Amino acid sequence: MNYLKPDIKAKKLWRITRFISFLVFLTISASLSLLAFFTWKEALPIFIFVGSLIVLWRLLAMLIYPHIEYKQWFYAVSSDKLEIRHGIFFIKKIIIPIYRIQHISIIQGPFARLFKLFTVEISLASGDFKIVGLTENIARDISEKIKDSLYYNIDAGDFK
Amino acid sequence: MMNFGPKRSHFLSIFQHGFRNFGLLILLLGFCLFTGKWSLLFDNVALLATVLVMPLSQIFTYLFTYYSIDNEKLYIKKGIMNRKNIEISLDKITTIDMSQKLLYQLANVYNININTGASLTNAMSNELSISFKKEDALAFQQLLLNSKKANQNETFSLNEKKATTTELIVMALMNSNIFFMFQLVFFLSLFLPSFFDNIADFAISYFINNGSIYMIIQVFIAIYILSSMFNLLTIFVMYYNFSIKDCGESLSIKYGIFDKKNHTLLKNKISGINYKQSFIMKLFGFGVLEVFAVGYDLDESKSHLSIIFPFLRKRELKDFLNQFITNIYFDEKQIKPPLKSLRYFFLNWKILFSTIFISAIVTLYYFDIFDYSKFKYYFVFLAIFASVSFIGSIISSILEYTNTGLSQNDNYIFISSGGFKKNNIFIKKSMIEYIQSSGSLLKRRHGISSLTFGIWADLANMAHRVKNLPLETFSDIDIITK
Repeated sequence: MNYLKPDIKAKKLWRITRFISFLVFLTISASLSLLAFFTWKEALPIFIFVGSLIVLWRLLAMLIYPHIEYKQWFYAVSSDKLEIRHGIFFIKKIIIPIYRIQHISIIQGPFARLFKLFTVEISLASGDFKIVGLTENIARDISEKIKDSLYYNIDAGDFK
Repeated sequence: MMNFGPKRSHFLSIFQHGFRNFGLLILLLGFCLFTGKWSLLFDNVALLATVLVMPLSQIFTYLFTYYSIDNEKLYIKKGIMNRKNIEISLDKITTIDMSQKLLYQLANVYNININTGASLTNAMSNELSISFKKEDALAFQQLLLNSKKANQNETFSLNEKKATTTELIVMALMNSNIFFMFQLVFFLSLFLPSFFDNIADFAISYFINNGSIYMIIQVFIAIYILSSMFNLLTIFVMYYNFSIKDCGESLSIKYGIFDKKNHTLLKNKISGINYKQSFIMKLFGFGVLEVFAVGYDLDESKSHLSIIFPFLRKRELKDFLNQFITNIYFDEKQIKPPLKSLRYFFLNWKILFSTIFISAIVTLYYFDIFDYSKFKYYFVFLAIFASVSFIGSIISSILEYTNTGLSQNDNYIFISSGGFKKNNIFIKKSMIEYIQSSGSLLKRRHGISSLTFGIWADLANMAHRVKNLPLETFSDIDIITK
């Protein structure tokens, strides 16, 4: 199997999306701590402690996780199966037989548009899987390759 | 050339969802009858129109929906102004359920539910729930099954197995829902707080002061008997006369007294089976056999209840499966979790929560945070409960380690998992949609990972996990069947 990785720009994209989430958590934690300062001073240290932990976790998610995640992201498409490997601390490795794929979507979020990156979403009856951080050409190639394999299997009578 | 129809559903189908469609009308009529204020009904056009919307819509559906079948498809034509034509390929049908509620039994009418496993099935569940007189219903079912695939005729039946009354009684006893009794007591205590507070205080103080281990055992036996009696009644009414019949390419499952049901399940649509054993069942060598197939639910209110035989001895499992679902049973040596993976079985929610629970109680007691003497009996009860949960979760984790295993042949995968409740699952490889290996970096470094199999089945049975197997098991499984 020829294992491939998402585009290197995916790291920047993950950082930006996580920065947004970091800002959201920071705002919530700060607001709650401020509220506690005025209304419930005894609980203020607990609010600050828990809030700081969450903010620190989101900060790590923004600064360090994209690097680890990128390092561990692999995918491969062959004529009969699709393989995905990803994760940060918990690694998931997934094998999907091509003939079980129900439909494929190519999607692009608002931030991904800035980097011209796409996600290929593979839908099965029992769940969805994604290959992220792909350039338009690669996303279309993967989609076409899966479709070709699927049609080949149907023509060959292998479809069950 | 049509083999059946075009024909309307039986007029009783108007009343199929009686309360849902006629509930408002019945309530209003009841109110008028009770208060004698009939003017409320006749003077208020808006109210009358509101309560008549659902009944009229049912009558229109009945009047303007026609069903017909040819050699390949089921055709449903619906509507007058907004016409809707639905075509369903007979090959796509996974299950056909025939049921008879009490009213239907009196009129000798059957309700037929068709499931194709497609996402549209739920959206048009009304159209796929059809009622016919017995003769028409049987002819309709035969044509849907397509005589090439299955034959419901008694004379063509290959094997049949019935659950005896004794077996149903034993099943009820073994499925004793003790938790239900606790829930009942809990909810009653909410409504009758003072009465239950006194009873609870008295009972707990009596136990602490005078109780012996024999008394505790007696109380548990009493709760067990009560819950078993409740289960016995529900299981008897639901599964009375349970039988499974092999009809060549399909299985026919019949049961029920008041609500008679007959499910027809195509064998080639079965993704797998699960021989489920509770702890007591396992001790006595019994189990419940469930099937994974899209659209097969014995009880619509519990989507996970997909039993094909409610009570089966372990020693009969092999013969049963060979008779009814050929080739699915196999007995290869299992790949077991290595001893070093035992620690990972202890990392679960049950242990985490029971540890937090027990720690909280110890902390409260040790630091004397509140005046616990006022709640002495409750406190002792909670401490016992926390200790039992903690010990129970430890034993459950050890059992999970011993129960876990995986084996495979060319066409099937067998996985066993679970702690007190053991699952023995046979999965058709051709129905596997994905296989996933997951595990933390540390776990992987120890050469261990957990596997998840995603299969084409109903929502409750779509994913099956087997924990902490050797890492190489993942690459040894070949699910690409051609």
